[in-house]
Amino acid sequence: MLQNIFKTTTRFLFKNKVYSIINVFGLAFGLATSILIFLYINDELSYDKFHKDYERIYRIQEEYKWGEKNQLWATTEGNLGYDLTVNHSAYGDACRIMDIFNPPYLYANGNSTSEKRMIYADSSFLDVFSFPLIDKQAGSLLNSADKIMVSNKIAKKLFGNSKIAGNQVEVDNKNCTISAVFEDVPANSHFHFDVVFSMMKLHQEWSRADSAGPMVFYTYVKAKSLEKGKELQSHLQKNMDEYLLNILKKDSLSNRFAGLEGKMLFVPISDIHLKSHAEKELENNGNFEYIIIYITIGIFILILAAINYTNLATASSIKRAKEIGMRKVMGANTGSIFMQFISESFALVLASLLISLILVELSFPYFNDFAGKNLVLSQLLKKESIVYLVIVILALSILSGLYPSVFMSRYKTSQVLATKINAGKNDLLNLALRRFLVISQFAISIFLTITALTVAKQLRFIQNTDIGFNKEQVVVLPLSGQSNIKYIPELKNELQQIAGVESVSGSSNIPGERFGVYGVRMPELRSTLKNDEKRSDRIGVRMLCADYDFLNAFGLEMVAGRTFSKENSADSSSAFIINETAVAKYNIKDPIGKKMIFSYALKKPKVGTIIGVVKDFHYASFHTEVNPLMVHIFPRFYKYIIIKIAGDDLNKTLVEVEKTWNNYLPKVPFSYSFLDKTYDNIYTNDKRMGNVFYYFTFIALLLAGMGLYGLAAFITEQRSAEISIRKILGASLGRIMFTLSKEFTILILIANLIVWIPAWFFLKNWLNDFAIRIDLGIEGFILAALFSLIIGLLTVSLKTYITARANPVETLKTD
Amino acid sequence: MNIETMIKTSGLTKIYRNAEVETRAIQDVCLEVKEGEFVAVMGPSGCGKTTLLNILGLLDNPSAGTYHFLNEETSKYKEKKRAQLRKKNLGYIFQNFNLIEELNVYENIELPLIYMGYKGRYRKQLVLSALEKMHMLHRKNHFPKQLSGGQQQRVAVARAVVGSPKLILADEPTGNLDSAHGEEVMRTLGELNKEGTTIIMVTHSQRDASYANRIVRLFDGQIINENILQSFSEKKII
Repeated sequence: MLQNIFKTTTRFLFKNKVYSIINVFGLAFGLATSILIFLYINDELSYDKFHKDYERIYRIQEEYKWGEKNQLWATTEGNLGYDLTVNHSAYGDACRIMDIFNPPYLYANGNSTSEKRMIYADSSFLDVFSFPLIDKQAGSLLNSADKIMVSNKIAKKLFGNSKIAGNQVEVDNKNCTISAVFEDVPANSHFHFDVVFSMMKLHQEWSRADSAGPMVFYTYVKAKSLEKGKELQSHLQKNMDEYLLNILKKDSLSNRFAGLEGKMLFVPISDIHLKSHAEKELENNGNFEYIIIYITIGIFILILAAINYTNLATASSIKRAKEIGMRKVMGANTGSIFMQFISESFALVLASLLISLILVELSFPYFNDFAGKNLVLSQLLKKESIVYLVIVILALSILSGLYPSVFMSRYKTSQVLATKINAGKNDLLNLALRRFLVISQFAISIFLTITALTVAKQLRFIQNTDIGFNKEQVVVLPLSGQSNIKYIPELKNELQQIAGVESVSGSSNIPGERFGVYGVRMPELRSTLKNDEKRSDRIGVRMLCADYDFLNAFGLEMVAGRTFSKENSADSSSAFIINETAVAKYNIKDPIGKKMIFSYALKKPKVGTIIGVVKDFHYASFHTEVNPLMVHIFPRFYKYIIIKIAGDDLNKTLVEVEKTWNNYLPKVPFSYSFLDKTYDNIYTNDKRMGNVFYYFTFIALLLAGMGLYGLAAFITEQRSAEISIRKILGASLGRIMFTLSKEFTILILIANLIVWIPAWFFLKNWLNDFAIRIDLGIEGFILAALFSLIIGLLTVSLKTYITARANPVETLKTD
Repeated sequence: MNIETMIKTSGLTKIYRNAEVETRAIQDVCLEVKEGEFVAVMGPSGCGKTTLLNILGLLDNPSAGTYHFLNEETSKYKEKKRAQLRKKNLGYIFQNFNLIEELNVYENIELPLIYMGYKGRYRKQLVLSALEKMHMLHRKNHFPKQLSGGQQQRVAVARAVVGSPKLILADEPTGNLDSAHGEEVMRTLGELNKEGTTIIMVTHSQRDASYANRIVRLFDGQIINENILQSFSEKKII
């Protein structure tokens, strides 16, 4: 029996090639998309789960609320981790990590390297985290200032092999011992690093690291058990509450912090990547909302494919009616017919799966590129992937096959065998359902089209809007270590001699990176704040430490006062520049000449005056408004040399720059990047989402087009007699096509109307994530409507053209 | 000689209802068919011949009246029950052959045996002997489209008889055939009848009807007369 059904099915499919191809490829596109989404999401959800007992590892974060303000930090002060280790070890192991602002170069064996990510960590590092070691020295690995751990990548770069524990390496002019080599940090970790320094090294440079102070430490704890973790959290919360109560008691600050509340958050390590968006995150985290959006879209695409199948299968049922009738005459019952068509859809889904796997494999290079992943097909062999595939295949088979199977098994035998078969007319419900399916398909595609158009418009807007500085032809050289800062003045002089170099400046940050927030004091502000005389004179600003030439290097403009000048010797020690937003936000009247005090990490505060106001520029992305900014000359924080190049021969200039660099800093690897490229990286996530939407829109439109073709096929087939009679009566081809297209035009217009409101809300919400954004106009909606109509009508016309052109005599004879 | 009654209907009526129109396809038909008979049903287009045949063939239920098939009252039977009876007892031949295009000659004939649940080897034996009887053995791997109309109908006949049904229902079996091919099919049916198979055949053709031993004439859904062409018992004796 099965063999017989299989034969009939395969022969039917081979005979009706267009039908089968549309079906199989429709399903395959749907499946391929859903597999890619599954792999992507599976990867996103796998972050930090490689740590042993990851369920018990938390990052401790602090959240503060007062008045209108809400501050959520990824970091804590240094004393918290210290206190946990010394006084609370019964609850579990704690470890602090600090990101190294200016990662130094490493030099050994005649080779040198500099990597972007290096950290300080407590010696409990490997008690909390599981980063597998390839080679290690005996004993504790991070218990003295000169011990470092390096990644396999670095070991290979410097020594050519991995087994190098115990070797010496020069770091920023000092000698260190490599205590261990660890496997490169996997991609699905929420932070990456190539070198781990001992916290003891930080102690050497900054003796107060274990005390209360700036919030620069990431504090992790691995609780002994889930209960211990909860106990520890409530214990810390109690301490914090008491501390905050004390702050509020202090008269001078009570008004400023009225209603201050603080929370000790224990963020599970596996939640950090997708759900944590605090200030000072270690890396750009993923977005859980996008995961939800992708899942929704994945389901939509599968539904689209299933609808296509249903549509085409029922449409083609007229052709199969005789077969079904004959089977019934000879004794097949409803159940066996049902089984036949369900197994047919199952077989087609299986065939589509094979094709979809090929499609997935072919699309990996592109997909990985735009999704920023490293996915491979073999990941589908994992247990959860197989479970997923089995579920999807069963669901898709049932979803697609259910209606056609029920529909066809219900055919009445006597009716089917009548010489005239009018399978469509018997069921108005059937036609209504089919119309409903086409409307849903188009609604989904139109929604995606509107979204894609709007996302593209916003991204274009970002690209074209004046960011207030010049990022073209700006080369950024990382300094790779504190010890190199002292060479800057000479290096600068040399670099400036090179033809094509317009200006050179040291800099602590480049636009597109996070600019740190610091508190500075402006004594004169105290009196200008009228409502609240007790308010502190401290203001929060983001900071850029730069050189005399920064204005030129970044192409910035002053709106008041002057920029730093070598003629004023005091500028290097007592001049500040602020931006327009700082002036406006803190209501600084006549800012030029006002006193400003900066005391972060300084034994003696830097006291100076504001000498100028720089025009606002977008040093962060358009997701946020421009924040208050302070610029001053402060070489200690320099991390980069910024070179503005003017000449045409960029390459020649760069060769010269490299030569000069190597003269001064022979052990420090020369590397450079272009500011425009790195700045554009801040929109990687947005572009990624854009790409995903473009791709999904394409697939959805393709599937909807196929679905419409199916419906058109069904309806024209059903109306072929009518078409022939119209032709005999003298209707032209065009006239007939118009008659037949009318219905589809209405369906597509209905689909448009249905999605306008949800699309509007979705996009409004998405655009709200941008502080600077386009207005959500109606042109995207109208364009999508036109687009859907054109695609729809082209599809329908193709089918109706074929039918309408047929010789009426032929049609009527077979009818 | 005791000849069993195979079919007995009384007051058989079939009404088709549309939103506004009610059509009486057959009305108050009383008919009796004995085992071994060959009955031709004749009448103008639209007189209800096919409707009657569908009901007699258990493909459809009557709106009113009773239908005894092999002493079972079947007029209220559900599709499932009817399907059971059909596959054991009935074979069908249609004007447009109704062969399944995706199956070849052999597979088409095999199909009813599959539904009857016969084993593979036994099926093969039956199919081959049916093919031989229809002189179609050399065509067993051809697909319906590769055959002439007469050949297709012979395959359909083979399919109808392969399971040795008690009753064959033929709906204008020669309607789509030229006279030579038609003659051939009618001869085959005549032989089957001689071997003991009961046949009910709807036809327009007087010549085809002459193969039967009885003609039932339908007009506007009612039986208007029955002629006995050839005494049934006589024929048996011969």
